[in-house]
Amino acid sequence: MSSTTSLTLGNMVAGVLQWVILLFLMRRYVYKPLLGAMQKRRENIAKQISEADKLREEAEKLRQEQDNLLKKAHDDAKALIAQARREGEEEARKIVDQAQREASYRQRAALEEIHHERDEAIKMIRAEVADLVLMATGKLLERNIDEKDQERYLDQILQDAGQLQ
Amino acid sequence: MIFSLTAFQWPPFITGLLAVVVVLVFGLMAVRQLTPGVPHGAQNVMESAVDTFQDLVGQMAPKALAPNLTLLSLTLFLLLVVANVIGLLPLPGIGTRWIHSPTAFLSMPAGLAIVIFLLIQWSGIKYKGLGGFLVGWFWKPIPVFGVVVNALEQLVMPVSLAFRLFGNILAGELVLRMTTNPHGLSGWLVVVLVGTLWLVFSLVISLIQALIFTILTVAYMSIQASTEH
Repeated sequence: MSSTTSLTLGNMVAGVLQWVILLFLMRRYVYKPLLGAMQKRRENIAKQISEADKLREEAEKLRQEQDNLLKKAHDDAKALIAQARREGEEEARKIVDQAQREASYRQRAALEEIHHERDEAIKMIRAEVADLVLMATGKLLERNIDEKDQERYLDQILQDAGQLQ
Repeated sequence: MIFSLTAFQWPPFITGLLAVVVVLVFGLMAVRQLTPGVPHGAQNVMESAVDTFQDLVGQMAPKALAPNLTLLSLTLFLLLVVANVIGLLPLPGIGTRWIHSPTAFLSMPAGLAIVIFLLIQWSGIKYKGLGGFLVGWFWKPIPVFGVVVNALEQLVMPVSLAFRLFGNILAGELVLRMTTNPHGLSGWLVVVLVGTLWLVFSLVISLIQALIFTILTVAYMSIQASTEH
């Protein structure tokens, strides 16, 4: 009668064989593919990490480049604005200068014209006054004075009028 | 204890085969939809087990021994876990008897322990050289007479391995039979309270004993393989 405490050679060998056969089958059909998959995963992860590192480096480089570009564009814009302002100011100054020049010229011209007109007017008035005076004097004297006298009187009168002025 | 060269016990052989099949089926489930991507289900469990044993063995064994010892010990562990649990399942036995675990018979643990003893000696020869191995056996800690101490030490290893596993599993099963038999000494109350607790306890014991057996195997082989003693 067999009991659990009896040692039987057949069962000892059978137990060992079960272990060995299981080991053989597991090794061949389970461990090998499983370890292969694990190794492949390890490689994939390592590859992905190195790729990510490379991508990050590239991104960093691109960012640097864009930073530089942006900075350059900023500087350019600043320079352009400054130049435009300078030019604008110059232009404005030029316009103002020209306007002032023109204004002063016009003023001068106007003044000259006024003076000229006044002189003309005075001349005309004098002539008129001279005629009137001549006529009045002639009438008063009731006599015609000859040319020579007329000239003399007129000069006299004109001189007087000039002194009156 | 009876030793027999000719007798053969069928129950532990059949339950042992059952354990082999269960482990193998689980292993095949793990690689059925094998992916190097994110592992799911059985593959995940199996990978965790492989990973754990790689770490465990890697800490103890020399580098050259580690890969093979990992697979050997992992297989041993899986086989023992399933084998230990078989006796706890409510499987219908022959007649009124319950089915025992194959490890609750002395033969299987003893057979494994003897092979492990040979493996320990083999790893000593392979990694220390025959000279170093013989020095270790006969010249440490004292010349010539050291062999007595070493023989005792080396023989205690497989004997303790075999009896620890066998004793724990058999005892667990016998106490489970007593505490879960409502017609015997214990009533239903005992079955529900003590029996359930003992079943949980035995499940834990099954796991722990399989682990102890495996870890000690790895440790013994690693110690014998290490060059400094």
